[in-house]
Amino acid sequence: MNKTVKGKLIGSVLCIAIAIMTILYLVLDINGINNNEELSSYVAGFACGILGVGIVVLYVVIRATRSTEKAKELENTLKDERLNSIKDKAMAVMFKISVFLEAIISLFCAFTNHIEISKYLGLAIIAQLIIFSLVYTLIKKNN
Amino acid sequence: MKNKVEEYRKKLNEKQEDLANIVGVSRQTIISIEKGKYNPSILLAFKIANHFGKPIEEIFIYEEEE
Repeated sequence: MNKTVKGKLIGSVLCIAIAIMTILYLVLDINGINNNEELSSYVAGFACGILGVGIVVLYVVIRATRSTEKAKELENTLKDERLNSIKDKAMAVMFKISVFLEAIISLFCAFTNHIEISKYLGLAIIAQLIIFSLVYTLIKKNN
Repeated sequence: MKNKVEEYRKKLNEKQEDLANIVGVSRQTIISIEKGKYNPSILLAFKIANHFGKPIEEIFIYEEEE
């Protein structure tokens, strides 16, 4: 099994394990989480989401390990330079949109007197931009 | 950039999938390269040219953008 496929397998197993633990946390009502309906529904949604992702990825990996043809296909897809460049571009666009949205929401909250939310969003934007600058400098140095 | 990937692949009677497996990319990437939608990296271009046993400039033809 190739390194990237192994990584996918470990990731999917971790996703499923976290989802199961979260569901158990809900079912056993640890810390009385079910008393807070809103919070428990968020946690349940989170658990179901990562459980779904984990199962789909695990299915793809298991299917790929059954035949060498499928394994090669999966390996090629994971290493494919075009797909990776599309993924990088999509991530870059997503980052720009996220920061832009956060800035708009932060301003909106500031104007509507939700200072606390506005402050945290502002801090999040600053943190993201600092991380971006650090990563940019590191990548620039190595290339 | 123009390319003759499809022409040389057909000369060797290869499927897009076969070429994709040989050079280690997905079939969709080969389709995009053949249609001229995607310009491959220099490494992939060399892999493809090497597979056809031709110099890179014979497979990939550079054209000035207008």
